[in-house]
Amino acid sequence: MSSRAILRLGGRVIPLHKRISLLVRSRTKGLGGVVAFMMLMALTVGGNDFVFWTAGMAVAYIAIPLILAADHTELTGSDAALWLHKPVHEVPYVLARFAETLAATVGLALLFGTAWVVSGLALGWETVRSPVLTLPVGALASVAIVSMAFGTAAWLPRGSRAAVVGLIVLGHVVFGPEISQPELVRGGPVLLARLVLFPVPDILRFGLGLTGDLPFRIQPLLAMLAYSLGWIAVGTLGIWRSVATGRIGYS
Amino acid sequence: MDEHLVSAQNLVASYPRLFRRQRALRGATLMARIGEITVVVGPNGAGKTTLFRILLGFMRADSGHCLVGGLAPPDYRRRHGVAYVPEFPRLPRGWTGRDVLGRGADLAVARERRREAFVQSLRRVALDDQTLSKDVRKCSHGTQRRLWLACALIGDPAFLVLDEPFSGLDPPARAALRQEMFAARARGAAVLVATHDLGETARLADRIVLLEHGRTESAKTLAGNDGVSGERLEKELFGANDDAISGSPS
Repeated sequence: MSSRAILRLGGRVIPLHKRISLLVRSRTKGLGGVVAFMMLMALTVGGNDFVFWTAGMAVAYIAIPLILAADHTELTGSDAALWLHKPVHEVPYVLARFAETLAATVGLALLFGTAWVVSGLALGWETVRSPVLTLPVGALASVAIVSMAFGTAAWLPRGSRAAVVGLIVLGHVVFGPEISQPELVRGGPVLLARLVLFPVPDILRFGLGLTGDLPFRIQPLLAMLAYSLGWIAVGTLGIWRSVATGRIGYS
Repeated sequence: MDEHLVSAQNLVASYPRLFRRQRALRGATLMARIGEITVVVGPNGAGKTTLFRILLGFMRADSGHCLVGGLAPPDYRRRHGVAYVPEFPRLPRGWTGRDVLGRGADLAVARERRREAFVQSLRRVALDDQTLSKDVRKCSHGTQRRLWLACALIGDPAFLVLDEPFSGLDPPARAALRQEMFAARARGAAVLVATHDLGETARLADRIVLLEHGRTESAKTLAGNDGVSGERLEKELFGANDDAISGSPS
């Protein structure tokens, strides 16, 4: 790379877009698996069954952030030692890395979602409005999941992805398919569940608000963003704890 | 500044286990001078890696006193950076050698010197274009180690911590690594090496520290690498008898 090119890219030898592409490249196998799954779904389900298509996309929206998310070893463990012996402060460094993961997740979720919708249209969907409106819902869900993965990986040396899958499944079990459950916000355990478990009601309300099946309200969107920020805070606290107690660079 | 870059005294450290703490250091003391190569030797499980992790600021000692460049180890690392090569270096999957060195330059060096540092690191690692463009996880163990070392040395840090650096290296790579250590010493860096290879120890060391069961058993200064052999070192450090060294039956 020429020095002029380096200056043009903000003085970095490996600029942000290259780092994001390296992150994606490091997960080629997993992402290839998602592509294979979606192709299999497309071939077996066909273009007419919107419910199955939505389910297929939901799996991709869950899988992409789980694949891209860093585990404990990459955040502060032995894999991170390659960078953490440099003159950097650990917490801002790991947060910057998480921001890259977040950007890659949203980008890939939108890319996969768009490809899915285009494929559906080519295979015979008659209306384009509902499928297109699932894109922001999927992106938002992916943000929540990658934040959960960050929060759990900062605390758990192993099994952070399994823990996230557990929280998603539990979210479905506890909240069920109900869309509006005002009684859920009452009572300590339920409030805790809303803070920890995957926010299924908010996602559904946000999606149905977009499609016009429910009156659109901003609260579900805000609730999902708050949920994601909560997990990012949990993750930041976990990284800070690892640094403060001297548990980095080792797995 | 004191001519000792590293001053660690009576370090006690342990790892948390399920119901107890496993003691790894039981009073380790180590001084590493500026412009010297200090080699830490000792059997497996002696606490060498734990000692290095504390000096890097990655781990906290339960008790004892430790300063690097007059600062607590984490503060020194955050401010100046340390060249660290672990015993089992793992490079990121999907990255090429160039990517690793480029990212290292981004993190270690000020903006205006990044390109120069990057080019210097490419020269230092001395790998061909094809190898540098390959996924690092597909490179040999020795090549990965060379890449990690070249990445660690970007910015010419004043403190080098090398844990079993000769493992998996062929003779030319070993010679190149020795030259890197001598060059670092010549520019006034404190070099700290852990190795089981007493032949290399004899070639390199200005000072040798013997660590056993988490304690510093002895510290020995070699006068300018005065031709002491690995066998003699083994005898002096571990008390092996001549027959055992020569391999003849007792």
